[in-house]
Amino acid sequence: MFGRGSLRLFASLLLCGVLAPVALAEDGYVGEARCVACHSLEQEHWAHTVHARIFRSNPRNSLEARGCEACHGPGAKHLQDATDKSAIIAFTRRRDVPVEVQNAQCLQCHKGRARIFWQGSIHETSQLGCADCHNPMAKFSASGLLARASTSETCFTCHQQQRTEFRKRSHMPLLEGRVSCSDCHNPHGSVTRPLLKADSVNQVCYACHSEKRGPFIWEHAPVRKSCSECHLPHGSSHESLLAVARPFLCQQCHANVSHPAALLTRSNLARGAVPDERAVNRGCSNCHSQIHGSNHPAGARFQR
Amino acid sequence: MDRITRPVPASSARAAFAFCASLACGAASANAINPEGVDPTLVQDERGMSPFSPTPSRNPRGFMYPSPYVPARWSAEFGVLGGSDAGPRIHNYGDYRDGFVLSHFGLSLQRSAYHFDFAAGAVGRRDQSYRASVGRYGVFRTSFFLDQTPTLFTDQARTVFQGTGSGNLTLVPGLAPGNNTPAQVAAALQSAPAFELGFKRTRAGIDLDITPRPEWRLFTAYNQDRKLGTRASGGASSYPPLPLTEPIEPIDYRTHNVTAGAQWSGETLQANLAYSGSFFRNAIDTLTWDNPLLVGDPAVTVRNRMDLYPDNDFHNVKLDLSAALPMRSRISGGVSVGRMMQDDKLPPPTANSGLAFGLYDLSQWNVPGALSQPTAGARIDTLLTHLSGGFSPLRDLSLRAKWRRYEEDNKTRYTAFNPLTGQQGYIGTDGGVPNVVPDNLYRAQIRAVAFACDKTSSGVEADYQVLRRTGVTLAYDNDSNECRNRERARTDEGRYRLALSNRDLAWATIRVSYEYAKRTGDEYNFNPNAAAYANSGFLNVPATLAQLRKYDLADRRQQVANARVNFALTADMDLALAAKYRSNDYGAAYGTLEERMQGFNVEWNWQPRPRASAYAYYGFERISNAMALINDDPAGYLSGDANAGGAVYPARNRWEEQSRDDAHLLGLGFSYGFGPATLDAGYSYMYSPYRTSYSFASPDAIVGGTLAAPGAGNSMPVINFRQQSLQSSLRYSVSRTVAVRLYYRYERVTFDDWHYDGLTPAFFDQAVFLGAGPRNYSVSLAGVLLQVSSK
Repeated sequence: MFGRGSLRLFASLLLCGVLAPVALAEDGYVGEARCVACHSLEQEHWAHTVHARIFRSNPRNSLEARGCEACHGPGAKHLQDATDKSAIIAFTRRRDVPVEVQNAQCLQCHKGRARIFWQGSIHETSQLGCADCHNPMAKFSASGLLARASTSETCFTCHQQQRTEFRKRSHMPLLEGRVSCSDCHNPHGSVTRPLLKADSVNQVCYACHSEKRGPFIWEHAPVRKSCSECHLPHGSSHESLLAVARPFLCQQCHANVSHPAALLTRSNLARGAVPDERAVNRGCSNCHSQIHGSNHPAGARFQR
Repeated sequence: MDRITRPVPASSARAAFAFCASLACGAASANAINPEGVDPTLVQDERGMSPFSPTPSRNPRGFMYPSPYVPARWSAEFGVLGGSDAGPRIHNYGDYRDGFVLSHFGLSLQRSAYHFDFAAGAVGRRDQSYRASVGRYGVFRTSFFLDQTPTLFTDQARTVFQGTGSGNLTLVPGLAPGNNTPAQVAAALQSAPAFELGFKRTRAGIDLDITPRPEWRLFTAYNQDRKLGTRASGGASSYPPLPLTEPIEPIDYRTHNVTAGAQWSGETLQANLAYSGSFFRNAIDTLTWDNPLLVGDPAVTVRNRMDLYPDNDFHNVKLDLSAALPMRSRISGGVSVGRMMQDDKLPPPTANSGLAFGLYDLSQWNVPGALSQPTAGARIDTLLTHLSGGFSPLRDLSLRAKWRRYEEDNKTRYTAFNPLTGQQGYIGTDGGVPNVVPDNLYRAQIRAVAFACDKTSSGVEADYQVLRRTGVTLAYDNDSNECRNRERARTDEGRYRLALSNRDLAWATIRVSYEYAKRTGDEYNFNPNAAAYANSGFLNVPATLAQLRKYDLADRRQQVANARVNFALTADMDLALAAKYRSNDYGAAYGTLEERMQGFNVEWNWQPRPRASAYAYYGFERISNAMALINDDPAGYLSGDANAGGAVYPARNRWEEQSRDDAHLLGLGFSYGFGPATLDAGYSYMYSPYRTSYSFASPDAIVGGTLAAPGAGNSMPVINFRQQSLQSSLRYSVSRTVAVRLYYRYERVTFDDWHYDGLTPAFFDQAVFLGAGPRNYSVSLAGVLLQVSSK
């Protein structure tokens, strides 16, 4: 492989040497044909992307019409000295172009819209480049010009712990391909700290769980405050993404008289000496099943 | 290369074929045997990305890019799957059934700037999906999508009811409502057939996206989210230990989502204006079921009725603005106005009739006239306003400030009052409990409490470039919560953050951060809603333990440390390390005391050739939690003393509990292309033990007292979850356009869970369950798939 690659490299450089002396435009732009003379394979890959389709079939402005140079900037200097790292805007680690410069190229067309809060977002201030998550040079993903095959694979390169969480006993169906990180988060910035796509945690959850939106005549305080008071958003060792095993989850807040404050032990399990319905199956939810809120006139305790 | 670069690969990104203006409408079009949702006929280009880069190029952080695919204009994959007897959970979120499968069909056409794209997956199966998109590049696009996702809780449920899936559950012939012995119920369950509990979610939508000018974008979208099936519910008949029932809740939901808006992205100013609406409709209003076991008077407590999720509406209008200013500065702000409301008809307080407890004529409580209001009239208005700005006074220094306020106004009002009897309160659990003033034994809630919180966040942040590629961030944020009708009217949390990002090293990228936060608040009132309750007619029973602190409002000291380092070990090899630590110490004597989280992850990737790669990863997470509580002593109720150590909550009834939730995830895999063949394999192993330990001061702290104490021990059995899966694929190109894929998947899942261990649907004389707990399974699935494409 490396041998054949070296041969190709030699041939390409030879071709470049032949074409390089051609006269250059005054503004430094050389045109896509000149780029393709050396970068034919890159062009072949790029041709499959949505950028190429738009730039070639219906460019919206003169910038898009420039093809390669719309993103990489004028190619004249690069054509004169291909080894000069500063001669062209490249997006790989090796070329060492500042991330701010790289991102500014993308934002020429992609400012605003879903990226309206990019500036100042945690990803921007952590010096992430657009090219960290995207690679518009070829088709690596089904859409989005991502650097990996899918949104979640792209996110997992940095957020590895979430991969572990999505493998737990109960989890959002992300690894099964039914939801994506970007269903809940906007990685390009948002007005919430976890980069949520809605105004609050609950509004994000209601997008799929609209039945729990209510409001109800009898409400459960932590449910209205935030779903994440009881649920882990990515995955959990318990049913329904619960943070702690029932009944202990409920007992963290409830010491009310009559029965919630008592410790249930292994004696209260199905095979114990004193089996108790509160320790088994779904614990407190066996009776308080409408825990997200009740619209029943006798539902103050979420039993109806 | 086949798309099995991970054993259970991640989600699809094809959702973007269909424009997704609202939340979660895009999701994925992946399916069980193609979980990444990428065209499975694609192969990676053996020439790599570029002849100038014989080794993989890297992104700015230093991670290797994979080798690109060679797309086709159209492609399809179909064949036959067959395997061993699959357990039920294998079908959760996916469909692995034996038989014919059209796992993928894709078509992409372009003429001039006009384009048409279509993709379908798992056609005809429970996890099928379709995407279609047509438009003119740079001008407009309209898209359609349809996705189905199955959720299966169990296929081994058993019940004594008939009418599953409806709002009316009646006992099978031979059982009398509200008057059977546990033995009779157990016998009926013994002969009952097993059935599935689960639901299918179908989402379909259409959208239109117009770009009249490069700066303008106009869009509108509609999608419908349909859920149909069943799940386990719960139904108390009275206080424990009187028997409860686990009825089957029908799911027949339909949610209509609409969105429309305009976006402007000018050189200096950008603006987004959008409306979104969501309208949930439940086709079944209530669930009624017979009591299988004897509950009180068999002539009275016969039936139960639950109000299912009510229809609700949601509207939101949002305007966001951002403007570039001189000196590399920018200001952004916005406003978002929302309204959630529901006005469902309320059912009467009870479904029964007769004289309950010899006191209450239920015919006065089982009619609409017994309600204080016919409908819910519930509504919450929300308002989000925010403003942020930043500028760079020096070349290497950036300063930012932000402010955000989210307000909720809960306008829901309800009082439990029966105009027919003139009594406050309600008949609870359909005649099982009389929460009627002034006869009630315990405190009765007679007025609804409208919870709502206003959240204000503000902060300042400074970034300084200490080296060319190394930046330091110092930030301070303050979050204040003002919650109505909660134990604390206001809490404030100040948070300091120090972060370092380093890309100056050629062979590594380092990111570390540390946060320290302290939450305090005003006085804690352990009984904030006393006015919503009527005092007991007989006793002055306290509301709860006075010293308990609810963890969302308790004083808290939090520390969070994060570290991410990735190394370029060689030109074709990566190693990434990530670690996280979080500690929460609550200023509480009772309730949640502390929480800790530790995570460590390592991932290795090797790409020696464009068509050869290997990976390995290991992830570890530990979440530990500690709490303390005091069991109440009924003998002390007369004292009304809510304090720890008092007559109601004596020190001898104190108990503590600790949990430790570990997770270990190991993944290994490779892809190797040789000639016309490509072999992929991925293996993953997940092991998560959850440990619960406890201690108690005396047998009075525990359920069952002295009878239970000898066997109580100091811990619950460990909750274990193990999952291992192997997914492999051998793809052989017969010609440029035809290939055969041999597919194999093995999966084994085991559970140990004390909630379900030894549990039978007929749970002594206390409960009638459905037997819907998790089950172990293992499955081997093989397939022969033919791939054709236009390459």
